[in-house]
Amino acid sequence: MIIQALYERYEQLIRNPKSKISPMYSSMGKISFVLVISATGELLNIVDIREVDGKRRKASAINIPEQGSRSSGIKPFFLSDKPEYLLGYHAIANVANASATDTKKVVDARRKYEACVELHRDILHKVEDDGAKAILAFFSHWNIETVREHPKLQNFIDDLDKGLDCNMVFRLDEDTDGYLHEREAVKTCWIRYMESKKASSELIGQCLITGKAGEPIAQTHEIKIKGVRGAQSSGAALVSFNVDSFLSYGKKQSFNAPVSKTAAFGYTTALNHMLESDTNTITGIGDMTVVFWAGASPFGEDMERIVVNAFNQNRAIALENKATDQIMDVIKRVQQGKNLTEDMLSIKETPFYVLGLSPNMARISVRMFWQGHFGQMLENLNAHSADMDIAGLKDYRAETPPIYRIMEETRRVSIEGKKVGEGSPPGLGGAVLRAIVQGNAYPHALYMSIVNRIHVDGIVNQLRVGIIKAYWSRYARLNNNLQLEGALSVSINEESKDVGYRLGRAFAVLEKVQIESVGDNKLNATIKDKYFASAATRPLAVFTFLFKNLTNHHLKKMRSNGNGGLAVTYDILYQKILKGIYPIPTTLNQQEQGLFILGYYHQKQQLFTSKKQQAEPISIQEKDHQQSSNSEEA
Amino acid sequence: MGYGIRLRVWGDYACFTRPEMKAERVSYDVITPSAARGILESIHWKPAIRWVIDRIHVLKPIQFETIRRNEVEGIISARNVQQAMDGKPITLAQIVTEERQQRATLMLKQVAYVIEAHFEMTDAAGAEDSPEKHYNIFLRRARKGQCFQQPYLGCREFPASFELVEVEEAIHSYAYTDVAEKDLGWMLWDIDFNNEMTPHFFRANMRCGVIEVPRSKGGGEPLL
Repeated sequence: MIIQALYERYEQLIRNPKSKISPMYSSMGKISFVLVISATGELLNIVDIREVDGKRRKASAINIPEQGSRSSGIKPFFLSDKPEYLLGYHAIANVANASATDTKKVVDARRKYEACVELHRDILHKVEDDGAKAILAFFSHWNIETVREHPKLQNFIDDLDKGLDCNMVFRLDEDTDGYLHEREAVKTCWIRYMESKKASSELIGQCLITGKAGEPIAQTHEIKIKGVRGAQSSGAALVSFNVDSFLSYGKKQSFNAPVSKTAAFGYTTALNHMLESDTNTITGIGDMTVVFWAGASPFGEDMERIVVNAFNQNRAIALENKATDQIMDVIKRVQQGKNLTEDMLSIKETPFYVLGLSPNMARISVRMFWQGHFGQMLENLNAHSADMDIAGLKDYRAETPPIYRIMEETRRVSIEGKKVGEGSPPGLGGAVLRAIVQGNAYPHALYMSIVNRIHVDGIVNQLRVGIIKAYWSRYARLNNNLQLEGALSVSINEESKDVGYRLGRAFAVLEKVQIESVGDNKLNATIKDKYFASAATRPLAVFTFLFKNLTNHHLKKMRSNGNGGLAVTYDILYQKILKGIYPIPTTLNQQEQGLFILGYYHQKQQLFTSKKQQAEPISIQEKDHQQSSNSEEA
Repeated sequence: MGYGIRLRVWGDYACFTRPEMKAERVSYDVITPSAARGILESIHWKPAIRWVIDRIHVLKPIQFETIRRNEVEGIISARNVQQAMDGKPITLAQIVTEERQQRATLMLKQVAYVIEAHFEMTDAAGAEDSPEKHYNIFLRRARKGQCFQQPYLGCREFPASFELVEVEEAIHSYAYTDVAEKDLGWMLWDIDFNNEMTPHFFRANMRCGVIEVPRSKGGGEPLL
C-alpha cells in the first residue's frame, strides 16, 4: 500500500528525465560551496553556489553520492561533506590557548579528516581517471595544520565558523559544467563500491514491496525522510525498529520487515523528492504534513497542483501546462455530474494518493492514507464545497475552504478579534482532511468545538455556520435522513419546520427588533451577546423571558417612535416563525443547537441584506469580528 | 481437501499490522491468511491438524481510523525470567513512566469477513485422529461459540465475534461485489516457523470481494 505506492512513484519518476530524482546510489544534498581543484590536487578556488533568498543565503540542492544517516560517531561521506571531513577544518582560531572542549573539537576534526581520506583512497585507489587522481593528490597535499590560514578559505571563514549548511563538493578545474562526483569513471566506481556493500547483506529473502525473492534485505533504511514538519531536522524514519518492543520472532532491526535494499532506496528517495516540492506537499493541517501524488499520467503534475491548490489557497501555484484546459473540462463535468468522453476517462481514472504523515521524534507515523482515482478526488472535493456552501459568500462553490481556515475557527478569539491560545488539537486536522478526501462524516469533535466556540464568544460567521451545515448535511446523507437533509439549505428555508431552526430564526428577529428600536450605535450589548448561548440550549426559559420583558418593550418603543408599521411586521414575522412549534421545548439537543445557529444565521442574513438592498452582504470573519467588537451591529 | 469450513468473523476494530509499519502501526487493507488461521486455531486446534486458508470474503468496505496511545518500549528478557524462576533476586518490573513510547495506529474499523479454510492431517496424527472427528469437533464448537482463547482481529485488543456459515448458507452483502478487481499489493501470507521464521508474501488480488489465497501448507509448516 503506502510503501509500495511510493516505490511505484520512484519507478515512474526515474523514467522521466525531467524529474531530477536521484538515481540509485545518489541522493539529494544541500550544498553551499564547490572546491575547485587542479589535476595535480591544488585547491585553486572556492565557489559559493548558495542561492540568495532575500537576505539569507540558501544552500542549493544537487544530486550527490548517496549519504546514509550519521547519528553519532565518525562516518565520512563520499566526495561531498562538511569541511570537518573534507578539509579537517575546525572553528577554533587559537589552538594554542584552546580550552579542553575546543581541543577536543580540533582532535575530532583531525580524526574525521583521516577517516575521510581513508574512505576516498579505499574507493578510488585503482581508478584510472584524472578526477580520481586529482582527489587523491589533493588529499596527499593538503595540510590540515594550517587549514585556517589557507588563502582561498579566508573569504568564507565567517560562514565556515558558524558551521551551518557548509557542505562542499569538488570540481576538477577543467570540467566547467560538472562536479567531480558526476564524472563517469567516478560514478561507476562508486556504484561498484555500493553494489559490493549491498551484496554483503546478512539476509537474503523475499522483498515485501516488490515481492521478488532472493533479494538482499536492508538491515536499516539508510536514507532518512526529511521535510516532515516537527520531526527531527536531520530526518526521521518511516520504517524503523528503534526499541525492543517493536521486534518479534527474534529478528534484528529491519529484518523484522524484509525490504530489499533497492526498494528501501526507492521509496525513501521518492518520498523525499515529494516532500521537497511545493506542488506535492502541504503543511499546517494540525501537526500533519500531507503529501499528494498522482499515478503515471501525462497530466499528473497538473492534477497534483489542482488538488494542492484546493487545500491551500493562500499560496496558489500557477498551472502552466496546456493540459490544464483538458483537466478543467473534466472538473467542470464532474461538478455538473455530466458524462465524460473516452479520452477524459483516462484523466478521471488516474490513480491518486494522499499520505498524511505526523512526526514522533525519530519516527514518522502515518496519520492517513487514501488511494483512489483523480475523479473520485474531484467528486469528494466537490461534495465538500457543496456541503460547506452557505449564503453570504460570493462564490463559495468555486473554491473549497482550505482546511487550515476551518481549523482556525476552532480556536479562541480575543477581544481584538485575533486568534489566541493554543492551536486546534493536532489530531483534528487530520480527521477533517480524511473526511474530505474520503467523503466520510466530518469528525464530531469539529462540530462540537465550533458550537462551543459560538456559545462562548458569540461569533456567528459564514465559515462556522458552513461547518455546522456541512457536518449535518453529510451526517444526514450518510444516514439517509432525508428529513434532516431537507432542512439544511444554503440560504433561508422558510418551509423548514425544524424546531431548532425556527427558534434560531425567531431569535434573529428579536435581536433585530432590539436594534431597530434603540437605534444603531446606541447599544453596548445586544440580547445576542447576553442570551445567545442560553437561547440555543434552554429556549423555553429564555424566549419567555425575552418576549415578556424586552421585546414587548422594544415594540412599544418602536411604535412611539413612529415606526409602528415596522413593529407590526416584526411581530407578525416572529409569530409566524414560531407558529406550529409551540410549546417551546425546554432544552435543545446537539443537533437542534446546530440548526438553531444555522436558522439564526439565515434569518439574520435575510433581515440585514434586505435592509441594505444587498449592497453589503455580511462578509466573513473580518467583518464579523468587527461586528462583535463593535457590539454587534448596534 | 474434503472438509472445508466457512466461518464468518466480524468486529468493531481490527489491525493486521504491516510488518514494515510495526513501530507506528498501519494495518493491511484486509485480514491476512495468517491472522485468519489464528482465529480458526483459537476455536479448535490439535497437533494432529494444520489449518490452511483457501479464500477470504470481504463483506464490508475498507475503512481506516487512527488512534495514538502510550505503550512501553522495553521487553523483559527471557534470561531474567529464567533466573527469577531459579530463585535469584532479580527485578522483573517495567516502569511505565520511564519506558513510555507514544505510538500511532492506523487501524481498520467495522470489519467482517468470511474465512474459507480446510485442514490437513499432520505427522503428529495418531490412530485415534480422523479427519471426520476433527471436522465435527470444529463444527460443534463453532456452532456453540466455544473457543480456547478469544479469537482476535490482528491485535489482542480487537476481539472477533464469529459464527459458522452452514454448508447450505449463501454468503451475502459484499461491499465489493461490483468491483471486478482490486489489487491490494503484497501481503503477508504466512511465516515459515520451521525455517528461521522466514516471512513469505503473496500478491493479494480481490476479485468481486473474494481473495483467493494461494496454495500453501499453512499452519506454520513449510510453504509450497
